[in-house]
Formats: sequence, structure tokens, C-alpha cells
Amino acid sequence: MGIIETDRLTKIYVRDVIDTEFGKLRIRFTDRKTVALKDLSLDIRQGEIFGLLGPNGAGKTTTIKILMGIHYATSGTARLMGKPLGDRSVKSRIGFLPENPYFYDYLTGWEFLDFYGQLYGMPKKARRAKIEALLEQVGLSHAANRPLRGYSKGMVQRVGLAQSLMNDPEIVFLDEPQSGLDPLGRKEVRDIILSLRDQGKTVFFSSHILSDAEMICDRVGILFKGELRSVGRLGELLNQSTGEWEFVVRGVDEVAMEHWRGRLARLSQVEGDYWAVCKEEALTQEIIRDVVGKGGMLLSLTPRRESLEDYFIREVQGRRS
Amino acid sequence: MKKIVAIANNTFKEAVRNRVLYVILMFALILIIFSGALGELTIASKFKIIKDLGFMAINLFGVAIAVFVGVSLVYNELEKRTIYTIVSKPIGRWQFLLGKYFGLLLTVGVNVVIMTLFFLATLHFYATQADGDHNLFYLLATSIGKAFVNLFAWSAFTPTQNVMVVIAITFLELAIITAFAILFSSFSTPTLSMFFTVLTFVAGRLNEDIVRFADQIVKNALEAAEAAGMKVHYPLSYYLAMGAAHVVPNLGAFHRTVEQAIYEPSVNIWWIGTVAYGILYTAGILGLAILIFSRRNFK
Repeated sequence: MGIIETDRLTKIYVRDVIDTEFGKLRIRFTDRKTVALKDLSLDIRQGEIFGLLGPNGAGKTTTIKILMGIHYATSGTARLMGKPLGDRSVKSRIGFLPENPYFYDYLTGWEFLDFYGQLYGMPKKARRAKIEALLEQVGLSHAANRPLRGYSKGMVQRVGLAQSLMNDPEIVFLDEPQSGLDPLGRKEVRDIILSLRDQGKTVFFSSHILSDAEMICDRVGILFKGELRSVGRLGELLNQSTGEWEFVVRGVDEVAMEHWRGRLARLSQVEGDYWAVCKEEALTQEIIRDVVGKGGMLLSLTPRRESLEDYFIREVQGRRS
Repeated sequence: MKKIVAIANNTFKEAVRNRVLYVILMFALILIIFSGALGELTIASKFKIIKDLGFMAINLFGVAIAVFVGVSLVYNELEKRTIYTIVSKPIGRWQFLLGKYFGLLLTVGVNVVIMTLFFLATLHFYATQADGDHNLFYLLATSIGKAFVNLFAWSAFTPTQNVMVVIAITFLELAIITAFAILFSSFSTPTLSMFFTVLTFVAGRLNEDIVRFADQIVKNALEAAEAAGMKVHYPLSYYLAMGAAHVVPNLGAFHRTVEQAIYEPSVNIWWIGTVAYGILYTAGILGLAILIFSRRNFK
């Protein structure tokens, strides 16, 4: 049994719109329906990092909002730890960081975490110990007594992450945890997520930053226009070989290398070395033989694997067409 | 309970950062302090003027605080999406809304206490001044001291007897208005909530008068019709209007109780009914707010 289960979860937003047709002098009240999520069935296992991926408007945030009780599903069911949504005992065992979080900016980092600790019903002594440890973990000990309004975006994200870990949760839901962060901030968030897995926690996060997802996810689900297109381990989803080869050579003169340019998928010069991508195995062998025969040196040769980004574009474009 | 206290505490912290609060409070205090000067200009008792103006200031400015600070409290949580992390915690939506209510009520309460202190001090100031020749420092020191004593011993001094009872009843009326501010704020925008809350206050205050007036008009019309030999019944619109009058809070009852406390302090029977009515009505409005808030999707 999965720790997070959804069964044909569907969310349809209805907006009341007033249509006016001045030509016919007619005013109509209509419902405009948007299907944000359609029959989403997921089964997340304990201890895994699951990434829900998809372009903007795919339904990632809607899924998390339903699981967190912020929105109610139009139809379908979901269970966390085997219990229906909204169960108070389950809520005390999960953590949540919303997308682009905004918090009470008049509170200091310490007061902010203390407030959330109180909502979990933690005693004062336990709160103090946990806040100290968390601020240390997210690298904000120095800013504990500063109001949040003075925090940078990265700091807000980190204190938000700390907030989601206040109760030592078994499942952590992170909605776009790395959006808006610089590369260093992204790495820090990534490290925290990986350390959560090491502690045996389940992490469910949404993202459109694929390279980050690729580095940390055990499994991913790809959502597009509210529908789950595929779900599985990265190794299963991605083509192991694209049939392309990538190589780097050194010590070969420019004329000899430029001779091949027309037949290569890519060729560029980086500090005297040539980096090339070739689509045929036989041609790759021929070029390498030629380069080595002319006194050049082969520095590396690797078959190109499909990246999550390649897969994502292939899937999304396939559906669009 | 601890969770409601945590939310209330946080709401109070947020509310006291609202600058509108201080502007309203400043106006109230200026009016209270200068009510004495106004009293000098009238033929009636100076203390009556000070009391009337003071009670009015505490009541109206209390409503202003509940309205201007209150209507944006719940809305801000939704607009800034701070509600997201709250809802995901093991806390019911009803606890959140009650926390918001009590946080706002605490803000109103603290302001009422500040206004009351100034009001009591003003009363003591003029009473001591009338007593004999004292220097200004003595006047200020004793009036402020006595005002603080009044907070604990309600009717310790002659000029301020019954004042605290009036304040308590006024606070109960403010508790109803605060509940309305939270109710409207839980499903509409601050501007609309402000409009609705002020409208409720005005309707509530005029409730009894309008009912009495409508009753009289219909009665007269019926009597005239009967005298002319026609048999007529009360029109349906009359019953609808009466129904509406019972839904809108009867704030006139508080006003009447306040007047009773000032001018007929020996008759106490009104209090119990008014207090019970205030508490039950507030509970009803909060219940309705919780019902609406629990069912809604947040943006």
C-alpha cells in the first residue's frame, strides 16, 4: 500500500462569467469550466523522492493543494498514510512548503517557526530545541532574530523549508521548492531533500526545473494539461541510448576538423579541444581513426543518454501535435 | 485551545501594526480629552457632556477599529496565501477563524481600555478641579491614578460610578460587530466587508425604532380601515420586515441597557438578558462564518 494514494482525482474550476453581447443587447450569466486535473491516480511508496513534473498550468500545484486540504477535489479520492484527506492525525505527520511562499513578514525567523510549532501543539521546550536545529540545518542561525521582511527570497524559501520540517514529518510536500533560487540556493535545497530521504522520509515535490528533478528523484510523474502522461523510474522512462555519440579530441589541426563539420550534429571548439556530437556510430569511428591518424588524441567518447528534458520535450510535443 | 490562542496572538501582532488603528485611536483620545472643554460651554451638567461624548467616542471608534482593522484580517491571509501553510497543519478551519476573531477582539479590547482610561482620567480631572484649588500636576496625577484604580474597583469614586458597567456593555456590542467583520471578511473583499459591517451596525442601531415605527403605521392604517367598515389583514410585507428585523442584531437593546445603567442604576434586570443576547448572537454569527469558511476553496 502506498503512503500517498490518489484515485481518479479530478478538479474542475467553475468561474461565473458575465457574457455581454452588445450587438444583440443580451447579457448572459455562464459558467466557465476549467479542468485543472483529470483522473489522476498515483501511488507513492514510503521513503521515495517523487517528482511531479510538468509545464506551467499542468495541474501540479492543484494536486498538492488538494492533498493539503486547501482545495477540495471535484471527484475522486485520495489517501495519505491510509487515511482520508483532512485527518488531523495525518496532518500532524506531514510537512508542506507552498510555491513562492509568503509568510508573516513582521515575525522574526524564530517567532515564525515558534508560531508553527504551536500549531502542531509542540511543548515550548521541544519547540526551542527543534527551532535551533532547523535554523542550523537551513543555514539561518545568524538571521534568527531578524524579521522576515528583511529576508532575501532564498532565505524565505529556506525558512519555509524549515517550517515544513518543524514536526519531524514522515511525508514532506514541496511545491516548486527551487523556483526563483540561484544555483547555490538550488543546491542547498537539493541537499536538504536528499538528507530527508536518508532519514527515511517520503518527499513529494513538484517542479519544472528538470535538471534538479533528474538529480534527486527516485520516480517521476509527468503531468500535462491535467492528465498524468507517464510515471515511473527515470531509468525506465528515459531512452538508455539515443544513438548519438559525444566525443572530445585534442591536438588536431583546425583544417582537419573543419573537414567533418558538415557531417556532425554539433562541433565546437573549447580552449583548443574539439567537442563534437555525431549521430552515426560508423561515422564516429571513422572520424576518430582520422583524428588519431593525424596525431590527435581522443580525450573522451560517450554514448548520449536521453535527459529528462529531452524526454519531457518529446512527450509534451508529441501530445501537442 | 492553545492553537486558537496562538492564532489570536499572531492576529493581535498583525493588527497592532496597522497604522489606521493609531489614527482612529488618536481621534478618539482627542475627542475624549476635549469633551471637558466642550462641557464648559453648555448649560447642562458638565459631567453629563463628558460622559455622553466619552461613551459615544468609545462606542463609535471601537466600531471603527473593528471594521477598519478587522475586515482585511482574513482576506489578507487568503490574498497573501499565508493560509496555505496554516490549513496544512493539524488545525481546524474553525480554530483558525476563532483565533482570528479573538485576536481582533483583543485588539478592540486593548483600545477600549486605553480610551476608557483617558475617559476616566478626564472625568476625575474635572471632578477634582471642582473640589478646590489644586495645581495642574496634582490634578493630572490624581486623575490618572484614580482612573487606574477604577479598572480594578469599578465604582470606587462618585463621578465614575456605573461607568465601567457601561463600558462592559459597549464592549459586548463591539464583540457582535467584530463577529460581523470576521463573517463578511471570510467570503468577501475588504471594501465590501466594510460596507456590510457598517450597514449592519447602522441597521442594528435603528432596528427597534424602525420596528416600532412600522408597527405604528400599520396599526393606524388598520384602525382607519376598520373604522371605515373594511376588514383587512396585516400585509405580507409587514411579516417579512418583522422577520428581517429579528435577523439583524438588535443593538438598540445595548444602547437602552447603557442608558439604564447611567440613569437608573437601581434597575439591573435588563443586564442579564442583554448579556445573554450578546453572547448568543455572537456565537451564532461566528458559527455562520465557520460554516462558510469551512466549505470554501482558497485561491
